Amino acid sequence: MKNLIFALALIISGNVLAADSQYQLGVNGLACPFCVYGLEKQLSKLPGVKQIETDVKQGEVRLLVKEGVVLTEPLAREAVKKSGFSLRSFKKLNAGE
Amino acid sequence: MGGSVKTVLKFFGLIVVLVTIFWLIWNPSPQEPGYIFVSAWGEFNDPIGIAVSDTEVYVSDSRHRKIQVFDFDGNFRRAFGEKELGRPMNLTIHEQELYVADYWNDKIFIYSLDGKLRRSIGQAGKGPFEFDGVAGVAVNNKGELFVADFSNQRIQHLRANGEFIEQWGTTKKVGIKAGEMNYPTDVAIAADGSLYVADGYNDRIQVFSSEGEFLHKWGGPFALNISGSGPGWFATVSSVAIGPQGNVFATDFYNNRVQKFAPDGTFLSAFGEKGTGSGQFDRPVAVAVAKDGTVFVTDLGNNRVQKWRAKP
Repeated sequence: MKNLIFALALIISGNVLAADSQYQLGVNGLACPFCVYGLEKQLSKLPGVKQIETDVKQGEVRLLVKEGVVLTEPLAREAVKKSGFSLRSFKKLNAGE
Repeated sequence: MGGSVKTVLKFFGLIVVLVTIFWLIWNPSPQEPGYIFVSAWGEFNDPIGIAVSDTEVYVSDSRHRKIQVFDFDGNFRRAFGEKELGRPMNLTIHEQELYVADYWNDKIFIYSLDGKLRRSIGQAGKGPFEFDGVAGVAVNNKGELFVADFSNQRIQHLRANGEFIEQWGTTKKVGIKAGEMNYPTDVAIAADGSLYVADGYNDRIQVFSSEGEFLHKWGGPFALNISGSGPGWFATVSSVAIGPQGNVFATDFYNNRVQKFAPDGTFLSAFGEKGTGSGQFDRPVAVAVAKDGTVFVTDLGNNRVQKWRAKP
């Protein structure tokens, strides 16, 4: 019984994690912390955004968006523009990417 | 034929004279012996702002959303601010209180030096007393605040209670003329009340009198946003601080150095170079100067604080 509950818990938690979506944005001009924090501030206002990771050197941002929420490219582009930058690329990542 | 040779020679002579004048004016020699590296320390995730009291160094550990405090030898003393801070930026100390510019919350948080939150001021927006990315703050002897309102492209001058007095720069408009701003990052007040502005992406320092009048500016030729690595030039000014003798220290972010100037903008010395070793920087963000002249610098990419001392 214990094993069954443990297995169910694993499956459920796995599904929850898998349900969140990841997006990768390429952003031109990222450099100083003032700029990066400004971008992160705008992106954090987008619906469903749970986590933001920025790679300044690559000019890339990874967003973790919660289950059931879809991030569209126009929304992302507008948020990036509001922070004073331009969106270079937009990609929804598959699990494991 | 002889006439045209003379014309060409005159032309090249003129060029040589102009280049020489340019070189002499905008490539000044150091007026002081400079600084020597003493030590480095810290466990940070994006150390940004820095301020010093009589005995301690305060560092905004930005991605850890807190302030870390050390003694002058780098021994950790305490940390605070985790509950309320978002992205703490440049810092200032005035009358035993620490002023923290919080970029994410668009507020200035004010703490006692032992870390107790006393009050906060500001809110998000572009109106008077509203901020869009607070980057730095300074306080004059009347308790009035000067706020580097980064994305609003202005410096706001506020009474101690937050009431708006005036601003420099046009809200949301980048400008290059005297008094206009291009993403200002920090401010500092000299003993005579004059205001020094790190006009970040204009690659210059601007100075205003205690009455608010523009006095002068410097940073490359005519301080007109011409970026460079020569003495007195900048590649993004990310903070400004006043030393005990009234001299001006500025972090020259992409040039990986700190520059020191007389109050009138005369270049005095510079220290630092790119790297990860002792005395090297990976994008220094902020500088603070103790009463004895010791200089402390946040070294962003190397996630540490560096301590420097003037050469004898």
